[in-house]
Amino acid sequence: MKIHPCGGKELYSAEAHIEEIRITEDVKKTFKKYFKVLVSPDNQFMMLEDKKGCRILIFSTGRIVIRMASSEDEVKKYFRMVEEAFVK
Amino acid sequence: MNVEEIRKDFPILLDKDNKEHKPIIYFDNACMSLKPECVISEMVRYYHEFSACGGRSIHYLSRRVSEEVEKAREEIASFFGCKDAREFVFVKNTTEAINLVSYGLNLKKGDVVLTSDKEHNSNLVPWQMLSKKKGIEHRIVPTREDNTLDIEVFEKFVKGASLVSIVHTSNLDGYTMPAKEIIEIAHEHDALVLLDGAQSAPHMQIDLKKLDVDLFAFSLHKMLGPTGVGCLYGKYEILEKLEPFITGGDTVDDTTYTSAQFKDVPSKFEAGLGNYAGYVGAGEAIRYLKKVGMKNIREHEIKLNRIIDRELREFDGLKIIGPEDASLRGGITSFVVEDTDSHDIALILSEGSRIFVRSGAFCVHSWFNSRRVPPALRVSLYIYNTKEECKIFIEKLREVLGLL
Repeated sequence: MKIHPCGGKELYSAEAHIEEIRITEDVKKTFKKYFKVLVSPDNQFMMLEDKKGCRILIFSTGRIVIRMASSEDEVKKYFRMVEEAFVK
Repeated sequence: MNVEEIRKDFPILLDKDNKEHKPIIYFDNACMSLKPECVISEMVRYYHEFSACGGRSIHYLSRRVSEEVEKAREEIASFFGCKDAREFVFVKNTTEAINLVSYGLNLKKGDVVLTSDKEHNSNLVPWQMLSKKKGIEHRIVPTREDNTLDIEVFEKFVKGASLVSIVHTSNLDGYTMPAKEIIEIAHEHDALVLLDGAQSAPHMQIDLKKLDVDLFAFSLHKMLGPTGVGCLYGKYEILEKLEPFITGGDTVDDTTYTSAQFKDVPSKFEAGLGNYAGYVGAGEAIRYLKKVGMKNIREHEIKLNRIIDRELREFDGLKIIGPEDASLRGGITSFVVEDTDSHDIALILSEGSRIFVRSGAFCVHSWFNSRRVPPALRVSLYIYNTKEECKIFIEKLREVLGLL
């Protein structure tokens, strides 16, 4: 995963691929504790948003995009959370 | 124009080896066009049959390269209504062509270069650099609120300019500048005109001689051609005076330790070993476009763009950039959606539906910054796009916006 600045401010984004994933009710429930959660009706896509506006886009293809994170550490933390939720 | 037949020529649209994926909807043509099989084959033909260097050695293969490259150059020249192919210099892309002009015209302190307020960075940064390094004056003519040009305002700004370097068709909104009038007025004021033709050359019939433009820059990679091939057209007498900015192998006939005798136009500009496969591929792309017909291409794009425009205007909080009349925007529709991040939309369309659109500032950051417009989305169409694709795009966009 490569982390790079985005938005021209002190913000960071990153992108990674994990294996194909299934967006299940359990996963949604887990993330709802920490984020505002949006899920497409077909469960192919999920977007998590924290209070500071960082967004994590999760696609069933396994593509993970983290945008507008406030630090590189936050990117790493969120990516670990996604990995833990999906990669068993 | 039979779009279904045209689509069969583009391997990437056939998806033969990728059955598990949905077919792609490619709406990022202002950035880069897809390539037909014949262009790919033509490049392979170079590598199979005559992959030597041109213009130097006396042997058969080298002569063959030179002949094939010149054939491609002639094809390109005739496409633009020109008889003298020497007026077309091969470069990497439009950016390099504009840089060649900016370095080669030998502009001096106080000389005025006029651009519009919606130039691609490729036609902005070179003039900013010259302003800093040589003290030229970079003047910017403002466009109207809808991004169209008021020719009377242009006439006021052109006074005293040495060069008008202006976008022909904008990659921001698809609007085509009134080039004929711009050129006539600029010439009345003794200014040369360089048109950034990156977005016009692929989408409309252009006769450079009738237009009477002095310099014209364009990229073949937006015209079904290979990456890494562009051209600078210039009237022969202007190219003769223009100084090369990259020099070296094959630009000179003879050298001493202290001097060099430059070749004639266009060789003096084409330094180092060329992208021969790219040049012959570019020639084939031009043949393909000629066969389809530029008028047909233009009409097709406008027809599709009207469909997209009509549908998008039904969305709440969506604002289209540029003139209201879709036919004035060729095959481009750029828009912003209130309180929604364009990159998020583009990502979801890409990953969820394999619909590829551009998001961001499209290398026209200066316009976005000056008008305080957030990053936008851009749909840009070409010959292989269909009504069906437009409908799917609208449907998927509606779903995405409903979600966000």
